[in-house]
Amino acid sequence: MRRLVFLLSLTLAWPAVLSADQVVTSDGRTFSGKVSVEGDSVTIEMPYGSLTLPRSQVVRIEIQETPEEQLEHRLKEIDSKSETELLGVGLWAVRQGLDRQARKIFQQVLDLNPENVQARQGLGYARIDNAWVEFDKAIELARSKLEAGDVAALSGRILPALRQIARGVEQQILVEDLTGQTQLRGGKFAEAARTYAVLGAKGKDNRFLRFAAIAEILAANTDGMYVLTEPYPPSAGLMGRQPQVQAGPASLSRAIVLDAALKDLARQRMEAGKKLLAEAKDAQATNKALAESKFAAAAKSFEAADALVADITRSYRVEITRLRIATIRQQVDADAKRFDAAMAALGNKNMSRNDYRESVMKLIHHVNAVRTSLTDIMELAKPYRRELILEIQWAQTDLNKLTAMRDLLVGELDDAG
Amino acid sequence: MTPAKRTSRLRWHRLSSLGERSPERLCHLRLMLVSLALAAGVCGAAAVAIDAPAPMQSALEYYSQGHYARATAVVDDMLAAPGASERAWIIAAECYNRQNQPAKAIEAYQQFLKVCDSTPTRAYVLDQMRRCREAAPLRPATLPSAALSDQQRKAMAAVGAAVTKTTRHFAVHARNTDLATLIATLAEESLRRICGDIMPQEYPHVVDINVWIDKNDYAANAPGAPEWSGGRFNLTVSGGVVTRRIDLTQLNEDRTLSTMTIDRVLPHETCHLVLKEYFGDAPSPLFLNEGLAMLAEPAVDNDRLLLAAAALSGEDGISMDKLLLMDQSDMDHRGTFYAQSLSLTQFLHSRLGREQFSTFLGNLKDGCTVTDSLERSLCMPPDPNFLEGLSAAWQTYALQQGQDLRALETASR
Repeated sequence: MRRLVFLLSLTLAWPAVLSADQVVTSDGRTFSGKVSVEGDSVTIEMPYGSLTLPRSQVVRIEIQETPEEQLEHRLKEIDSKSETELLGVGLWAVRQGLDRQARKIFQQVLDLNPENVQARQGLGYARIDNAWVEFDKAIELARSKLEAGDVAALSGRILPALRQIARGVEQQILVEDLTGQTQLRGGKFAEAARTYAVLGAKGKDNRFLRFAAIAEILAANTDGMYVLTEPYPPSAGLMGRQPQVQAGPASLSRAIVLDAALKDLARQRMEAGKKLLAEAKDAQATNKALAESKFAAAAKSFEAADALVADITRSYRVEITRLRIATIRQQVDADAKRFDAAMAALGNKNMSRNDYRESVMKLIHHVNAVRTSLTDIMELAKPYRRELILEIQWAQTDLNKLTAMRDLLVGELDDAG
Repeated sequence: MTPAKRTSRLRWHRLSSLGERSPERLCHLRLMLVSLALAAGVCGAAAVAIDAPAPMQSALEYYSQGHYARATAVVDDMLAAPGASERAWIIAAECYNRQNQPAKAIEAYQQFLKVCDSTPTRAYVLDQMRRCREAAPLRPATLPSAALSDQQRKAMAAVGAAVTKTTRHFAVHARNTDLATLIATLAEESLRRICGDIMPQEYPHVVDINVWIDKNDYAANAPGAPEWSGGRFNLTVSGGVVTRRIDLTQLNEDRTLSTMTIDRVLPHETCHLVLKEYFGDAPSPLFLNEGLAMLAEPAVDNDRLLLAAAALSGEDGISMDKLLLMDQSDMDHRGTFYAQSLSLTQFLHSRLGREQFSTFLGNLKDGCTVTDSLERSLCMPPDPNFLEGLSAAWQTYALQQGQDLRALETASR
């Protein structure tokens, strides 16, 4: 890497901002960052903050050429009609993180030779079936080949090509998932288990939980045989349709068998959630805090199950929400009773203006409490609009009434003031 | 056969079968040799794309394609090899099961159980073994009264002194000893059917069955029972004491023995009683309550199934979503309601199987809707088109059943 070092005398007229990167002070310390000079101060902006020094303490500033400037120099130095030299600069630009500029250079390489493999790859093209295709298209083609059972083409050519052009974590995960599926389809269960174990450790969201679950299934069935305890999909028998897999032993090399295995694992997690839910319901009348913690634990188990089969525990989550809403409704009823009592007292007493004002304020306080509870209900029910439509409408109607009532009370407060 | 004997038989089988040189067996041998070669690293460098399938995988492939004999042959070879995975026994077991060889299947399932390390799989295997043991052909059900001679019917129509006959779950109070004995026996059979096949559960209670002489005696002693009913059940709790009671009638209006009582009303009301106890305060759908009670009768009433098929094929049928929600106030077409309730309940019971149906009832008891209960028992995510699909499947089932019954009727004529 070429580096230009300017020794600038402090007596020279400095530009306001320099694209420099190192400041050497009189006591021998060195600071790296973006430097700006203003008056008698030198400020260094560093990743963790900025530092301002008096100009008198600065011995010199070393300005490093930016990658963009270096690229400009490199381009000037090469023969722009040379495919090899252009490609070299393009690859260098990629290594420097100058993706936009690199793409431009690769495009120039392709103008000289449309079949240049590295330039094509640099632009995100993979060669599939004698045609250059971009990543998204290549992934789609690879998926189709997997469905068609063309494992040899996938593992031999396509996946390595996809791995070459995958940019960023998301694309890499897509390729590795496809690799795992191809390994499974090809009966390479141990390799697939390793692939999914690595993928599963990459993150915490549902997708990664699913990858980890696949690794778990493969680790428990190293011979690739899985025993289905019921036909799959589970509704086939009831609906009078032929199941895609009968109950009994089946090979995990079939994607549908893996789906069935994931469903079984999801069911295990769901059963754990159901047990906690039952315990929560038992505790609800006597120990609200315990019930709430059990509800939360149950919800967690249900989430873990849903990560493997989307929405498989939805009806249980709706049930938890309904129970929580019922608890809030009890609170609402208690607040409503307090409001009624305060309202009755308001009518019975011959009050001073101040007492009246205070009573109205208490009423507003009770209304606010109920409104908060109703808003909580609306929030809880929001993800289950279809199932909890009555709860939502009931809360909305009450909320509208309370808003009108509150407006009235606030008006009364203004009059009393 | 002991595992040792079986292994030696398998070895012999393997050796003798090599001499046959059937293309199928040569193919297995080739697969095994390729796999062994790959395992030994002979073809390691060449194995860039895909390996030849391992024997387990090729057995599974044959099995999934319905080539059970081929699958069993591969498994036999595998198990004969030293250090073979005993898990392969389950492939053999399923193959025998599907080839209607329950004894061999049970033996293979037992071998698999020795290496089974999963609770759900073990439960599945035990269930399969139970099914294999129960594989004996079922006798067609007949009504209990059909077994009675004219003489017995006359004797049971006689009214004498009050007697009580007790069994494990029933105390039958009647005015005829033979009838009391018969009813007690039939009540136990009904309970076994209800708590064994229809809705598996324990029933550690005793039920009083009162057999009143005729309609008037019944009306006088079973207050509150509908005039048209020939029997009723009652479950009351008073002072912490639970009373379970069924009221029946002995005679028809012409003073002959009421065969309806023993054939239909007794099992029907027994089922209602068990259901009432099961659901407690939880609401249970009326269609299911009546459908199960009819299903509990020793022989299903084919006329009702024919009526259900006719109603569903015409315009008189009750739609499924309506049927699921009907209660006593909606009884405009009682006959159709009962017929369709029986048809739908039988459909659900037969299609879900004992375990899932039991889970379905449990979900209903927990307060779920029928749709939610079904989706939960099938362990599937909610599907907005589920009810529509279910309705279509039931309709197809009911119409097919109607056609079959009509064909049977024609053939018997």
